[in-house]
Amino acid sequence: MNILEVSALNIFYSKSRIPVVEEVSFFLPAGKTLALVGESGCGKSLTGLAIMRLLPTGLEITGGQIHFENKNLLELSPEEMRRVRGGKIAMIFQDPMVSLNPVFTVGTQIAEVLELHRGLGRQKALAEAERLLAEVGLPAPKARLKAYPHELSGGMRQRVMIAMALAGNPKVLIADEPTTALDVTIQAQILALLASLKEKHNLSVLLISHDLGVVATLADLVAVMYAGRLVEKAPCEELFSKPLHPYTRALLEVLPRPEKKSLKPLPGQVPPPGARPAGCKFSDRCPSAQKKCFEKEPPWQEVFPRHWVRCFYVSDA
Amino acid sequence: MSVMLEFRKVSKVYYLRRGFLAPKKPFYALRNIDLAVHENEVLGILGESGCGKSTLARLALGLETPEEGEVLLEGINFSALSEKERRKLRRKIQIVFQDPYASLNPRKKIYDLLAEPLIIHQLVPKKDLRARVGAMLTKVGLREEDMERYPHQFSGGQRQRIAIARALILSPRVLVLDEPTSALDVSVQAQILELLREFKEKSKLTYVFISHDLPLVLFLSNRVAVMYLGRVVEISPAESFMARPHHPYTKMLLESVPEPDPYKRKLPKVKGEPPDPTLEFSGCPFFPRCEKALSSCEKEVPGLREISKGHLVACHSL
Repeated sequence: MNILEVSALNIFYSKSRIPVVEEVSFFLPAGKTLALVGESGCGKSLTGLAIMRLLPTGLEITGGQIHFENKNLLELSPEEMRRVRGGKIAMIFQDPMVSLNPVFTVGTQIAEVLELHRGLGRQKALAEAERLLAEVGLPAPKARLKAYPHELSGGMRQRVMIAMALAGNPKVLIADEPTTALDVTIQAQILALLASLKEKHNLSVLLISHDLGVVATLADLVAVMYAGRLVEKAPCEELFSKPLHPYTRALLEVLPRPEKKSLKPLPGQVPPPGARPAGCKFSDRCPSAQKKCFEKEPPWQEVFPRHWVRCFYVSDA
Repeated sequence: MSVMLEFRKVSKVYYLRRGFLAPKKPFYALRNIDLAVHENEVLGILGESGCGKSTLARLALGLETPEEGEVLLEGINFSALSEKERRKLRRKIQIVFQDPYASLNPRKKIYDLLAEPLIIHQLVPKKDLRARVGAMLTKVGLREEDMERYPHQFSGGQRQRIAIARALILSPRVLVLDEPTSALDVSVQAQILELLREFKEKSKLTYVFISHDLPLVLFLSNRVAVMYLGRVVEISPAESFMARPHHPYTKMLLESVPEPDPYKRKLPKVKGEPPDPTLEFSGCPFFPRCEKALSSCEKEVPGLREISKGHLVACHSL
């Protein structure tokens, strides 16, 4: 069963009508982790924000549907959406210093979610907040309720963010680069925490990341984005062992590894919206592009069971 | 193999005020660093935020003076020199910073950015400047005509190429690379890494490559120094680094790096966070997080000991 279904999502710049995200479709199966992978500017974060209906001003959803619990989120009233957001669908961001309010204590901020989404009174909410902080592994949770975000380290702040996300008893957790701002030893702790919470609460997770190591650690399914489109989607093991799209293959080849002698970098860079090539959006950097690729956009098709690719010349690698 | 750059018992202290009226507290960014960088090698400096790796870079360039010990470039002590002599010596060591959006003056054309070091050091007659700048730009994969443009007209990767060109135009002996690809996407990072690798193959440049990214450091380096809280805890040849890391912190780092391979999935148990570096403690900096800690670790700082050829570890439990 899929808990979240995004179909043919389009996001445009409101003024210039330049497309930023186009025809993005994916399903998030219940209890699974789907990773959206790509480099900056590919539209992965915007896709996450669109699900929460939190797109920044100047961008708008111009088409598509986002189904959650038999409802199209895009058709909910602002009031109904507020109840979903932070409740059944929660989100954590890259930089917990920016996402936490610096003038309120950690306890107040978590209690607010509990009062809003679970109708608890202040005292009960604070007790529950303490339990949540303990659950996410924050040392001395009772004392931390009175701490302000600046008094905590980056890792602790991210734990607070996760506690706050759990406060609404979510079914879906959208984690946008949850460990990118953290040191690698702290990242390992947060990844282990996310993995255990997902099991314990039967969460379905949409993980947004540029880091293939993080993706390989947490994901059941991986969707690769490039220039506002999905270019490949497959079960995690299959995507890493049998990447079919030239961009996915390039992403794996450019990773510096101790055993590699040299890298085979792609030329150029990700084109910004408005400067994307006609035809296949990867055609200008693709090592195996043919004439057809510059003229027509390849369709999004299931070439093997559960393995989707947007490429005319899928080679069986 | 001669020593290009050497740190001898170097300590660097900053004084921090925690709060408006609070007294200033000493904060040791570096403690008792002994490190030699050999000619023609790539020495990787690996560590997490706050370990002192960028302070090390600043000292290497003579931008800061150590409180204790000395920094020697080709045997010459930076702090013993006058400002004028120091500037002259600095030609031999150049740096590329992490953020190419911050390190290039947005109001100067690329020509001015690249010609300025040549003019300051009076290395090239004025009439040859343009040709020299043009040649340098093509070497880093840009075009000669790019010298008439401004930094904002370039992408992040191209800006980092400009920063590399500016560093290399003085023909330095040592190039310090402080997280040179951290601000870049992986596909662009690979381009910059390949550029650096090719330069290294062609010339006798010495690199000091500073990064928090373990696979990246191992990819480019011949030797790796691991830092923790202002100290070097392990120095190892890059080839044997993966096979036998010995310091418990190095092991923790290796376990923590997520493998881009779902078949090697791991969720290691990693303990604790680095302590507040302004706190005074007498023992090993890693003691509170260490699985192997002995009672002596709390009292006494372990020094670097050679455990096999070229492999030094600072740990009591070995």
